Amino acid sequence: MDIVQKYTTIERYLEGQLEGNELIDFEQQIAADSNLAQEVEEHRILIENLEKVRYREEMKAKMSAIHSELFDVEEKSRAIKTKARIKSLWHKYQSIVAVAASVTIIFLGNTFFNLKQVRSVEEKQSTNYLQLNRELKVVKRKQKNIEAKTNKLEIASKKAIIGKVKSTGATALVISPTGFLVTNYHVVKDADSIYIETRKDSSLMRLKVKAVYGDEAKDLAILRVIDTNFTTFGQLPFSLRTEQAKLAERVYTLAYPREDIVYGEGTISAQTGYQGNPASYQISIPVNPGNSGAPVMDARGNLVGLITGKDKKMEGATFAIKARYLASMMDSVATNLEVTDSLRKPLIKPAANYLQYLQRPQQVNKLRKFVFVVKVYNSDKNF
Amino acid sequence: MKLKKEYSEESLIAGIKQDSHQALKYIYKAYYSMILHFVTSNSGTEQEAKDIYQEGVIVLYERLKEADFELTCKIKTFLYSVCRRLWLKRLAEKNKYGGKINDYEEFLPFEDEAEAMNEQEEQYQMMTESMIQLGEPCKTILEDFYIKKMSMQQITSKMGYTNTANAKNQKYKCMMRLKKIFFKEYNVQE
Repeated sequence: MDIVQKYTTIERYLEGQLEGNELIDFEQQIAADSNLAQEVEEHRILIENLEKVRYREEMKAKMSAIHSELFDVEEKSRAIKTKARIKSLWHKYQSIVAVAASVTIIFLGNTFFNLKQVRSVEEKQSTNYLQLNRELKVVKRKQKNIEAKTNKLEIASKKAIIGKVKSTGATALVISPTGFLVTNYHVVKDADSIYIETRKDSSLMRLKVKAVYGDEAKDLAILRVIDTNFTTFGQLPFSLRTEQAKLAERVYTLAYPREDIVYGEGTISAQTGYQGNPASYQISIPVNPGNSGAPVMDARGNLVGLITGKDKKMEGATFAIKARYLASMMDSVATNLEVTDSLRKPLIKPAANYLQYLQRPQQVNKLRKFVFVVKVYNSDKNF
Repeated sequence: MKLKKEYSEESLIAGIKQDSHQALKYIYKAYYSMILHFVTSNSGTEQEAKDIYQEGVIVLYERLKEADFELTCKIKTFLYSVCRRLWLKRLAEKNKYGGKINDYEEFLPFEDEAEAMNEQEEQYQMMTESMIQLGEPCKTILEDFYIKKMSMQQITSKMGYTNTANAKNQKYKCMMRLKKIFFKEYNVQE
């Protein structure tokens, strides 16, 4: 007998719906088959208990309604009595309250002072931006001096390295819901401590991370959240595009060149990077310091690459490492961690693309939850 | 608030058997303060008193609905005795039972019935726990069908199945799983 059909028959039998020949047939089957008899009995007990649960829940609901109807009236009258009592207390303790109020005012004064301080911090942030520029100039001059000496450094001087200055926020992208992010190697190279930040509505989320893997040649680093409060980033909406992006394909990026997330659009202008580097794309997209590590997405929301730097001498020439190299790096990190660190959550590569049928604003809205500011702190002052 | 109608014990029992809302309201109001007083003067809170009292009323209802049960004492005494027993059990679970109970009413010791009552309570608890263990979507499907008495058509559209046959199939799978979970515990108890 088909199993579903058998259960239907048992259920109907227990409900007393079997009649005539069907009933006689089934009763004979039960009498002949002790397994069936046991099944019927178990089903009966189960339904009986389910019925009991139903009955109890119904009764509790009824009684709770009666309870609030009967006794909440009393609670209301009690509330009125308390109000009256508060009034008499107010007369009794008026003078004490007055003293307390004056103390409060003093504290309030303090708060205003604190607010002022906060504002001055904000102002500092904007001056920070100027400082950052200045510091970049220092770096440039130094590099120019060395330029004449070694050929190797000449290359380095031509390549503007974005976000190397201390306290510059770079950008990082979540690559595994279990707490892994990717950014540029140069961002975290000399880091003492690294934090990632994001703003959800008005609240700030800040997590401590650690660089677990770095590749200087590809300029990629993988970060792992080591904050104990962290649970998960949630399902990633994008996938990695490992095949080559086409010339003139439209792409976009999301990054934190300032305290707020910034969207930028551009096109793939070359399939090779700086000085013909085959691991990178050249993209015409406006970028600023802080764009390092920003994701480059294609129109359907696949990750094409990660911004690494730009050519200072060329207008609108930004370079991004190809996603293929990120994918192979993630594979090696995942297998590596499996061996050395199997107790913690593994790195899970993003696989499914939930962005492809969405309009651009919706795509960006989903994606921005996975783009973070990286704040790097180091004590090393000599760049 | 006063209830206008006065009930005799017999008419109350008849009302319980017929699931009369008025009877339930009358009983609930009549004996709540007795249990509230008992529980709060034996290291319980108001909320605990409410829980215990509601459980006690349910036991009263369940017993009265059994065909071969005859109430041999006043409803008041029965409720007090059941709630007393439930509260002692609760205190023992919380390790708060100090050995001395402040009593305010006569009560039945329930010596003969204790085992049967315990078994009933355990079965009820086992079922509730099994349902929790069962997880979704099975819990909702079975609750909707057996507890809320929804039809298979309603469940099909609520859970988004393509047709009732699929929903039925799922329901049976869920029943089998519940059976496994429930009887694993049940047979240990036997």
